Amino acid sequence: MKAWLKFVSISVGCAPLLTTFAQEIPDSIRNYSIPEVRVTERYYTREVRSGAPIQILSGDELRALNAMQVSDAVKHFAGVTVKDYGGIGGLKTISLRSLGAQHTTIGYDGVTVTDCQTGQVDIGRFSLHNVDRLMLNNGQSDQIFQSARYFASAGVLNIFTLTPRFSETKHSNFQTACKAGSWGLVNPSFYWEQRLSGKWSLTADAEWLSSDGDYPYILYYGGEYDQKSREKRKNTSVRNLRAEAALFGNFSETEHLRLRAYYYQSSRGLPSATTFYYDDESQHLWDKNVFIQGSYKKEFNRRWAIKLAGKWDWNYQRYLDEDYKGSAGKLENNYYQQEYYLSAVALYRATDNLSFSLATDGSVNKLHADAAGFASPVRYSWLTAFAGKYVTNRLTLSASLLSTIVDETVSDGSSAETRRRLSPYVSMSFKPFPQEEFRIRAFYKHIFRLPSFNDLYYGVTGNRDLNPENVTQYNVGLAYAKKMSSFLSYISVTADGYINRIDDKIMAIPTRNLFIWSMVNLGKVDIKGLDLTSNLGLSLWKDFELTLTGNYTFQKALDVTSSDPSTVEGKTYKNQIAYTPSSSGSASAVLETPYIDLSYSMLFSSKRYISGENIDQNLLNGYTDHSISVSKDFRWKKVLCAVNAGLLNFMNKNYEIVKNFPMPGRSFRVTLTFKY
Amino acid sequence: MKFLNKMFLTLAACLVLSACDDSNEPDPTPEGDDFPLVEDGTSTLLVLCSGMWNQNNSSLFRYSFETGTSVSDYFLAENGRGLGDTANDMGIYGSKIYIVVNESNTVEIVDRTTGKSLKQLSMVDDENGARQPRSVAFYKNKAYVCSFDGTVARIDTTSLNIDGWITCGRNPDDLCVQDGKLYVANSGGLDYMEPIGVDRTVSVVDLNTFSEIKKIEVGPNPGKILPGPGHSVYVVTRGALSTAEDYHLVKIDTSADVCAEIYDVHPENFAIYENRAYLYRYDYTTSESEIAVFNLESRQMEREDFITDGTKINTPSSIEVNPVSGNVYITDANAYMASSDILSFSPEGTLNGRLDRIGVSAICIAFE
Repeated sequence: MKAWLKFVSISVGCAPLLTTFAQEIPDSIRNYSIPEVRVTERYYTREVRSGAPIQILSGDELRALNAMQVSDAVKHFAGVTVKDYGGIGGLKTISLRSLGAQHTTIGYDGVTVTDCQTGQVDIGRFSLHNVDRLMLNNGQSDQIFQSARYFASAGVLNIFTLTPRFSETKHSNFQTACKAGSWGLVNPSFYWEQRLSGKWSLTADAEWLSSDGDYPYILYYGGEYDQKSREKRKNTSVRNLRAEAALFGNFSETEHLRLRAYYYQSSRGLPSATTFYYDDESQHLWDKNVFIQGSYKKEFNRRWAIKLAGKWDWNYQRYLDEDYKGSAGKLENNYYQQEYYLSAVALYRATDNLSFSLATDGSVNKLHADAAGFASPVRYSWLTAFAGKYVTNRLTLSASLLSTIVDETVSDGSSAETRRRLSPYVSMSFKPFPQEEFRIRAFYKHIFRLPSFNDLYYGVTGNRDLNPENVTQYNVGLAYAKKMSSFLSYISVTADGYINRIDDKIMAIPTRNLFIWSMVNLGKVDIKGLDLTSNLGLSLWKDFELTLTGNYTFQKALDVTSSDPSTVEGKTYKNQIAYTPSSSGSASAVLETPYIDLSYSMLFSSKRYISGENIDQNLLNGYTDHSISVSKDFRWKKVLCAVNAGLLNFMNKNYEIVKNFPMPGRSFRVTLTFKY
Repeated sequence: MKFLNKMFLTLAACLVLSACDDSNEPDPTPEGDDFPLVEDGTSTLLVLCSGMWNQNNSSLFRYSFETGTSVSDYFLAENGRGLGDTANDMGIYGSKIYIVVNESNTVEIVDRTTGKSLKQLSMVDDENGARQPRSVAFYKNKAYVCSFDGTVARIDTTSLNIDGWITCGRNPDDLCVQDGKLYVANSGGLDYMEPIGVDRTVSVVDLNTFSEIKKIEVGPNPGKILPGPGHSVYVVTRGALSTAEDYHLVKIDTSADVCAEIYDVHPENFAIYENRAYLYRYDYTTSESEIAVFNLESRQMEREDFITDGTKINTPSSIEVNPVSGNVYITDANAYMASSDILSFSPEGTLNGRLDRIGVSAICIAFE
């Protein structure tokens, strides 16, 4: 235990901006002595104990990665494919284990972020400025005390924001930071924590981001040895404003209230695919998003606890193309989305080892657009999840059953039929040797995603007869963690093999004519994969700490729609699905010294195909992307200062994640942070 | 301790190795049911493939009937650069091939013997706005290119410069020459969601004065247009939403420049050889394709099913008749999910030969 605490204090002690570990346990862990959570556990042991894979990037790790957007950071998780259209403004979505972005739920402080229009959330819009940690669950979390929506997807990316912490004497904390970097990046931010009374505190924060983003790239007019030219990305400017305020009520150790108001607006050019011989750009996108969310938790006694949550969300998007050849001379669309959401969860601890939860979520989602004849769909969802969990020191078993009832109405024509589904989940984690933190784990989950409003109702491409897309997941893994000698402070390794099956995959094919593609349930995908993660802490000597992490993913995601070679589908039978590398991964090394901290990170991906037909013409090369950064913390009177300078993609690798949407080459970024 | 060091090294090595190993999956080979195309009196076959939108993967497939060899992208091979994004039409005139590339906003003028591009014309307006060129036709040492911005450009085939512009209807999609006049199919297709609706006219352009003299009402969304026997032009109208049941074949009488007849046949695209029209239609809703022969003289459907030997075509995407042999060539775009094939049929509708995987989204066939 002593060595354990020593490791904890060392690893945290290197980040003087944080207080010590004992005060640092996030309240979601501290306040609920439910059996599945032990107060002393560090994140990485939680990663090991879980029945389904869970990966966490802590605040320190996020800083070491020198990432700015959530999308930059999540690329360092195993089994993740971020579809990144490049630059700060480019769409970024996260797909887990080749299942597609629409199977990933995004949680923001315990309440999900939804976009019923596209079914996927642009995670590029979340900055890391006020983020405490990121957590990724494949399948679902072992935490059964959660909203029903958290049971309702193939995986969850949780974004947790900072929680205010105060010392005995100081009741206000300020932090201001400014990031600046290549291609006109300016990103000032401000964060304020205030203790109002013994029970109440608040935080407020705001950030502005502007970037020209006109980064250079090499345009290849054929293969590597054909002509090429140096170009600059056009129409890439981004202007973002984000402001948040949160109120924290800690009425007792067992009763908490949180309210959060969020505002975001963005104006950005929408750079199109790089096109040979023509580079004029004419598309622009404006976004506005407001939400208010709240959660309330209370533990009545050792047996019972409840959690209530609610959210109202309003989202506006305007798209404008000023070079459209229709008679209006432009194409403009305005979309309005609203969400009303309520959730209640009850937790019952039958014994110290056995607990049950019942969660029920109701939501209303509306989409309206100014297009003529727009269907203006409204979706009413009612999700109920019943879950049970049995925990001992050596065994964790959990299971849940989710019921989904979804009904839709439209203002024009017929709506999709009412859907009723039951979705099971089972997981286990077993520790064969009492003295070793070595676990064997497995989970099974059957889940689906609903067609998005676009899939169902968008103009002539929508198809109101679509069925949900089904996913079956099987995962078997090993996890090992150990606190070692004084030199090798800890090691944690996980290996997970998985088999996923997608049925009724929703895809676009030309259905009315060549120009009008629409959505159909076609396609079956067999995914077999392996995720490896490793984490190593070394105490080199005295206060020199080296942390090494490496993640590797191997995936075969094969189209198995039809094996009949005379059919169209047969022509891509057993071909790797589009944009899915067979090998990908990341690595990082962080060296902490009493003087400065150094970090290095790397991402790599093998070749991919841009379509489901695996021929040379459809090949997109693999890439590696290396970044380094240096940071130094110092105290100036009562102010804690931090300087961080980073060089991103320092090998200046010219690569694309999405064909003809080049990623930025070498760039620098400097961050100055002041805390008082 | 040592063990752990080793373990770490192994892990690191594993990462590095896999980072370098990019070639772990062999490409599946084509299924190999190619059998060569044979023609007498024709030297080469060219197939323009538009590729997929935003992918810059338009290509020009070239096949030599003499040697039985093919080049999958002749333009790229000879020029060290690709055609660009969404090539839409191609025409051969004199010693040159004219290739119209819609999204790249270019017309590539290519030397027939060398395959080298002699000139790349940029089809943009004064503000660098995209004109979006669609199709090309020829008459008396001039090439005419219609663009979605409503214009027709006249290119001198000797100087290779644009020497005139006129404006026709909305979003002209195709054009052809008959009786010394240019017939431009004004689709108006980009207004299909607007209250104004699609265009319904064919513009008649006097080629001596290079000015529009008339608009003929033919029906909603005119597209493919071809000169027919005698004083006639045939055009396909595709309906407001381009759904298969709305397609019509329309005859224009070019002596009076009036809409002569709307036939009760429903092609998406067609080719004319002598007095027959070879029609195809792909019903995107049912995934069924039909290829038929329509007699332009008797104005009767001659054969409901052109193919007589049971050969299956998934998604016909272009059709052309070899003017020397009368063999009918049809490209199969395989629902645009896989690359295209080209099939050659005898006039009787039996398969002569086929070549698979010639490029993505084949759209235009030409013979030399």
